[in-house]
Formats: sequence, structure tokens, C-alpha cells
Amino acid sequence: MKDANLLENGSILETDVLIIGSGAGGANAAKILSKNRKVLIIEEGPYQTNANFSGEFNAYKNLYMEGSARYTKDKAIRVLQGRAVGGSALVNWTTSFRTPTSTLNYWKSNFGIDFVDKLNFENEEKEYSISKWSMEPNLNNEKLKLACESMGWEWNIIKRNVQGCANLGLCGTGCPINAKRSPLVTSIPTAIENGAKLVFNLRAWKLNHKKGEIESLECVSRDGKNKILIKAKTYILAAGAVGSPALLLRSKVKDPYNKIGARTFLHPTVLSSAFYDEKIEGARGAPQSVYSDHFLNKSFNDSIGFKLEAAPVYPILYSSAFSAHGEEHAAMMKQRAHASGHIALMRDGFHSDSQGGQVELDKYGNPVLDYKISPYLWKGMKSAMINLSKAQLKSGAKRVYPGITNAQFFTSSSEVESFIRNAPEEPVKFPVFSAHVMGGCTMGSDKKKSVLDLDGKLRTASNVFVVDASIFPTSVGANPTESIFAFSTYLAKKLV
Amino acid sequence: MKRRDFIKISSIAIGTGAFGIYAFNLANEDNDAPLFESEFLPPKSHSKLLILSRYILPRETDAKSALKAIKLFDAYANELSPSQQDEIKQILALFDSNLLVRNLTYTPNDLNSERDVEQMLDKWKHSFDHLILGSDLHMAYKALTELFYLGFYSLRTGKRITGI
Repeated sequence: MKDANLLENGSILETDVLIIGSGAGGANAAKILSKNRKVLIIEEGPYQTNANFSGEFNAYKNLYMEGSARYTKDKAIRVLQGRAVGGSALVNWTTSFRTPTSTLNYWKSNFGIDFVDKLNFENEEKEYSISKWSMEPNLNNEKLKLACESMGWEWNIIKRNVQGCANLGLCGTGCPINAKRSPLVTSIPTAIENGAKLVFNLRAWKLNHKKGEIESLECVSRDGKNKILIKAKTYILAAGAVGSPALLLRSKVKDPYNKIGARTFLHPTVLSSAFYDEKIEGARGAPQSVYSDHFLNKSFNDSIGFKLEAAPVYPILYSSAFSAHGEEHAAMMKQRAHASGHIALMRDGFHSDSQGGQVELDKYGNPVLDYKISPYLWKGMKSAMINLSKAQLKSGAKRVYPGITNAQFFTSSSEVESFIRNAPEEPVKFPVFSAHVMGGCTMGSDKKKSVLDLDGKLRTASNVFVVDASIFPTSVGANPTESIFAFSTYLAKKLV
Repeated sequence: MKRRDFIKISSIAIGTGAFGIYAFNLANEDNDAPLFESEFLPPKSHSKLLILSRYILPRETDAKSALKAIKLFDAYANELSPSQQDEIKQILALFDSNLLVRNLTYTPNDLNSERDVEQMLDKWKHSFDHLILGSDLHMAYKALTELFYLGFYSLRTGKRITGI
């Protein structure tokens, strides 16, 4: 394992397989391919272990893309993505779902992805210790459960990829006891034991290509001082949805149908915070253990479906939820212990009025996601927020605070509903966020509709494959990590 | 610790604890003098941020903690993308801009005026449909306040004051 900041400027590295990105997809592919191929993994972010994890500030600064402050082009949506050895899976909240059957069927019928029946989720669950959370939900999740029950909505317990979890609740800032079975403590060590090499703090900048074949990759160390060239026989992109399409765009690879970066999807997410007499302490305990698919079990032709989950009430994360300063903000902070955070994640990409976003490059060559929110999506987000707020009040919350800029507290269902209905459907005025990014290098059987073929191979180059969430042709409709594991395993095995 | 740093922090710590008085004095004295060796922040922004911290952070925050929050602001901003860094620099540049820009953005000429600073923050907070800037001033407000909170709520003082 090497730090690119310490490599000699102008170094040339050679390998058989180069994997760009060490998150769920890249690390998983490295684990499989390193059994009988010479593998080099590169990672843009730092290498940090449980010895370095020390709270929110350091996590947001070091372990998240753009300091956790990445926004879509019009600032409408805040996008949280990991950037460290282990990728987003290092800092996710451990929630694990199999790709919903309805999603797999949609991909099969609309994009020709005919191998979905061969995905082995059971194997991934064994590999990454994914199982139903057996401890009591924390109060934040318990309140979500009660909210669902008060409305007659079905709910269930979440599966988590943990082993020996002490219920600390620090998943979002890096697990301090390595209970989270992220790539950092699973697939990366296995790949290294198999002989794989890893260089961190190294950013993939441009693929050099000639006659439909990639010849080398130009990289730069994170401190900007060292330029490194890597030559490989096979290039596997796993820089995440946004990162992988951006690399292809910067490299100007052939894209005859302008599909690179298109159909990039989020689960646009809205928040409703509820306040209770008793202390909730929403930063403690497993961040997510209860969910509801009540609003997801419906036709794709209907209004947009959404999933209900809890969000941890970490101090800094919570502090950013309010547009306030001085004593007004301090007063909100003083109520944090009594606050719950409940969220609705929109299933985008299954309807003609929800076609996702487009990855572009800014003047520095860095990616920016243009993601316009359609009226169909606004309608869904408002409906989700209204349902959540009403359920929170009905199940015992004293007050609710809808996640809308300059909102206020409400104690009445009709008043909060009216406030949300009348809220302006405009970026910034109605904040949205997402921790799930998918698509941008869409896989499919139709070359006019897809960037990759069904082997995950780039259609316009013979030796480039993609194994991260960017291959998905829509959003997943569930937290995507387990889907990435399953798809990357299937695709990597074809390359062995 | 550099001597300059030490002197500044000592004067804060020994001073009166009356944070506002110290900040106001800074504004009157040598506005552009750096308060610490920064990685990202322009030195002349230090004292301005220290004054602003008085309005953005809880009232009982002492100047030493405010300065620590600004140092964390600096360390964090250094990790942001070039575009994000451009945006932060644009916000900070408003405090050194000409009269026309200041009027357009409600930025006070005199940071010593409590009324003017409060008015600026309030205008920025509610500025979504500015004729020229759209919602940029609100985003500037969000960015500035969040950058303070990011550092402050990772400090023991921030946690103590708000009981978190």
C-alpha cells in the first residue's frame, strides 16, 4: 500500500488489471480478480483506519467527496459520497437491501439486463455479514416504527452489514471498532493478501486511448505535486456514479449517442424532524434499523414511490438542517437531544417525468451533476413530507419541523400540510439531499441507450469495464450497497 | 505556536472575556492583520470572520473558541474543490468590495455596526429572489454559517454551550 503524495513525480506504474476506486464495487472486484491476476487499486481519498476516525469534523473533511458539501449544479440537492479507501461503504449507515425484484424486472424488460436471475445476493450477505438487526431499534427508529403503525403502514427491520456491532451509532463517521464490514476490513485486505497493490491519495485524471483501446491512465497525487502514469491491460472503473462518467468525459472517449453521464440518478431525499418530550438521542445506536416500503409498493406509472427511513441526528449534520444564526440557531441546537430525523427517499428513474441528471465538467475539469427536479418529483417529495409529518404528530410528537428553508414548528397536521403544500417548488427554498448516486454509465443491450454492454464493457473501448453504481439504468429504489456488491461480483467473475 | 498566534490568543484569554469588545477593537485597529497562519483563508479575512462569529455563534462563545472554529473553517475549506473554494473567496471578497457591490449585497461598510451586521445576515437569510443574484445570497448565508458550525460543534465549547 502506498501514498501517492510520497511517490516520485513522473513515476510509471504497470499492472495487469487497474481498478480505479476502492469502494463497494472496486474493492469487491479486486478481491475476485486478485486471485489470479496482477491487480493495482487506486483511490483518490486517504487511507484511514479506525485508529484515525475521530468524529464528524474529520470525517466530513477527510472521508467525504468535496468535504461532504457536494451540490448539484443549481444547488438544489446536496450529494453525500465517500472518498477514502473503502469508498462510500466506509461511511454509509450499514443499511443493506437486495435490489428490489420490481427494479430487477424493470431493468430486464426495459434495458435488456437479462442476467438479473444470476445475481447471488445470498453469497454477498454471507461475505459481508449482512443480516437483520437483532437489537432493539434506537428511539429515533422506534419513533419511525410508531409513526408507521399509527397510520397503518407496514414496516420492517433493516439488514445491516455488521459483525460485533456495539450499537455506537458512529457508522457515518467511520466505525471505530471495525464492526462495519466495509471494504476497508473485508475485500481490501483479502485483495492485498492475494497480492493486489493499492495506491491512495491518487486521482485518476485522464485515460489515454488509441484506436478503441486504452493505453494508459494519467493520475495526479492528491497534493497536486506528483504526476503518475499507469499502464494496464484491463481498466476497471469504480470511481462511483459521478466519478466514473466524469473520468470518461475528461478522457473524451467515443460516445456516439451522448450517453456518458446521462441518466445519473439519486434517491432525492427529504427530511421531517419531530420533537418529543423525552430525549431521543438520535445520534446514538444503529442509525437505521426500521424502514417502510408502504409507499414503494405501487405501479411505476403511478406517482413516485418512496421509502421511509430514519437519519442519525449527528450534531454537525443537524446544525446544517436549519437556516439560522446566533441565538435562534443555538436554541435549535439545544433541542437536538429531543429531535428525531425521518426521511423519505424517492425512487427516481422509472417514469417518463423522472429522468435523472447529467454529469458535466466544470472549468477545472471536475464533475458537476446537473439534476433538475421535475414537477412529478416535487409532487412526490411534498407528498412524502406531508405523510411523514402527519404520522409523526399522530404518533406522539409534540412538534414537527419540515425540512424546508426557513420553516417553523408545527403542532397541527392541517397546518403543516398546508405549509408544505404551499412551499415553493424551487431549488434552495426546498432543500433536498441524497447519499445514493447511481447511473451515468448505463448498462443495457441497446447500444443507442447504453454506455456499457451486458459484460460491463465500455462499448467504445475494448479494455474498459465499469463495476460501480454508475452501471444502473435507474435508481435502485433501496440503499444501493448490496446491489453494487452483487453486480460487481457477477461482472468481475467474467473477467477472471 | 508562533509568537504572533500566542500574543493574539493570550490577549483574548487574558482580556475581559467580553468578546464583542475585543472583536470591535480588532475592527478598529489593524483589520488586515492575520490572526494565524492560514492554509486557505486570506489573512485579511481573519478579523472580519472573528467579528462575524459573534453574530453567528451562540452569544456566550468566547473569542478563543471562535478563533478555533475559524481555524477549523480554514483547514476544512482547504480540502474543498477549486469551484467551492472560488465561491467561498467570492463571499469573503464582499467585505472588501466597492460601494455599489456592498449596496447590492447588503454588505455593511462598517462591521462595527451591530445593526448593520444583523441586517446583512437577516437579508442574506431571506434573499431568494434577488433581482440580479437570485438565491446566491441565501447560499452565501448557508455556506458561511455552516462553515462556522462545522468547526464550532466539533469543539468542546460548542458541545457544552448547547448541551450536545
